[in-house]
Amino acid sequence: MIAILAGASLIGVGVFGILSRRDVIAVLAATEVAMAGVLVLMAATTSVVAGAVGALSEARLVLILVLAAAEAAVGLALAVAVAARTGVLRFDDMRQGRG
Amino acid sequence: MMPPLDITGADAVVGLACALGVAGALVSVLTRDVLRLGLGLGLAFVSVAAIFASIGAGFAAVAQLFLYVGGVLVLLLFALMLLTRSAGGAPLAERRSTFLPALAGLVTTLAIALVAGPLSAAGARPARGALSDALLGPLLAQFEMAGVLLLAALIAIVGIAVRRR
Repeated sequence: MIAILAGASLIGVGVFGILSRRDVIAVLAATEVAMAGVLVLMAATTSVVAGAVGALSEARLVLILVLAAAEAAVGLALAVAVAARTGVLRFDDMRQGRG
Repeated sequence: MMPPLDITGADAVVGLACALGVAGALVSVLTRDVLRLGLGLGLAFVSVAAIFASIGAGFAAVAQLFLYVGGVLVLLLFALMLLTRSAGGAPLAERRSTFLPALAGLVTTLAIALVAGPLSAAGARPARGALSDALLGPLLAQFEMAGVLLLAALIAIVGIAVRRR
């Protein structure tokens, strides 16, 4: 049960970070915190409902973990590329969509 | 009359890992310092791996350490170093307002906890099957698609990073 609360808390902290931060990298970091919370929530709920994290659930967990890591990598590459070309680090300063 | 608390060692480990994970996440979203952001995030990711290991998902714990701590966190730190250098070493992570995002985060946490808590009150059934049987059996399509997705992500990252003259 405490792991379920921890997962929910991580998601909440991630949401807070996404909404409150101005910088691209900080928002991406908060997104990863929220993703980690989702994974913890999935694992904890499965553990409590089924009595243990079964093989199928663990496989799904690993696949979602892989997807989240790929999303983080592409997001960081985009952020670095945009910052390198425009010198802009904040969402508020990003005015043009084409670069 | 309240029943006595029966806290085992495993419960204490899970509780400690959860507390450290949430603390690390709070540090990473509240701090303005780049180094503390990275350290907080690292603490959160390692704690998540500890939670996975303590509830019996050992493979997921190792995958979390490899991918998140060894991959995503290192990428993030590199990106932070590159971007803060290009910004003249200015402190990162200024915030907008705090009240509304904090309220949104709190509402999210409570909503998920209130939904997930009662869901966990269902009965238990035994777990079966090996991880490899699952990945190469019912989840084979998803497993293969994940590989293709990673390849696509790699190509996209190379395409984004290469400057066109």
